[in-house]
Amino acid sequence: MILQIIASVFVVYALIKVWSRYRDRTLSWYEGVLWSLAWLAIAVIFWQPELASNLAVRLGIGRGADLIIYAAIICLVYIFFRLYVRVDRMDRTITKIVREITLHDEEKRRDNHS
Amino acid sequence: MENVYIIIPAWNEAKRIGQVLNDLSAYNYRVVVVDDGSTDQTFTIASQYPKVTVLHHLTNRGQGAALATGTAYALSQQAEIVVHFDADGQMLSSEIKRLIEPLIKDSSLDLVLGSKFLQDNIIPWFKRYFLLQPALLLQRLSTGLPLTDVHNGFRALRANTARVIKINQEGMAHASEIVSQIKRLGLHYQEVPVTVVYHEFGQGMSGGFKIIRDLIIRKIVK
Repeated sequence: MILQIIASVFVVYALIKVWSRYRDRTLSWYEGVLWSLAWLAIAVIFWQPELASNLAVRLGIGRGADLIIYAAIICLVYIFFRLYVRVDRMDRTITKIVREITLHDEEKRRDNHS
Repeated sequence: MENVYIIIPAWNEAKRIGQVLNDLSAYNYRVVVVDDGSTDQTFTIASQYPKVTVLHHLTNRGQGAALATGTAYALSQQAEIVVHFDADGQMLSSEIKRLIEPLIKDSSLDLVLGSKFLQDNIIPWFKRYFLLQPALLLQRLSTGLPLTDVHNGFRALRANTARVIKINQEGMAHASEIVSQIKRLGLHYQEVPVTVVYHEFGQGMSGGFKIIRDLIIRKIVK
């Protein structure tokens, strides 16, 4: 019971964070919905662990705990990939900005000398 | 041909850049050093050469990014030929002529690539057999181009070629990216023998893995 309460408090905190990120436009609406569903699913599994077990049996995994671990690994890999893509794009953007500044500075320097 | 631009990306090359620029001062090339956010005296030393244009990246962006900046600058100055050259003294300025002459003589050529395997060069054996040969095989398999060298940064490009080749890889993987584009764009190239003077071992195994990782990531992330 204590674990369920702690988990629920954490889920409520996470949901508040998700909604505030949606409100300040850091998350798009579908990202907000996805994250909300993910956190709600975590709360449901803490209160009704047999749901995970039932689903695991239907998927042929066997144990509910294994299903949760598999799902968590898939989610983490996906999140890692998304972050990697985002960092890569930011990297390219920074390079473009640095290049523009470099070329602009040189143009200004030449103008000052002529 | 007057407008031959030598692009030298330099990151923390204070120890060698002076000698490289001294050597180049004997020729009538337009030299552009791209100081890639060095934390040593590279920028100060390069700036002491009045005939050299020194561009400065505010932060380190990688050799590919620095080359792309230098090339963009050269093209904005109506360069006719752009030569990529190293700042660490590995390449000989006396051999630049060898790379640009084929472009002047043969108008159908788009670019000339230096090859350290077309002449006798002293290459550390581990690097030769365990890094360069596997990398060369990988390059041949992935691009289908029968080049004799891999990751040789000594190349001369006609201005139109420099315009169509897009260097998107900020790091060392730009060299493989350029080879892929030569194949994809059907560019006419020629290889010429060049000397490589190894002062240091250069890119090791981890550098090679980093290049493969960058190439794969950019294949997935467009």
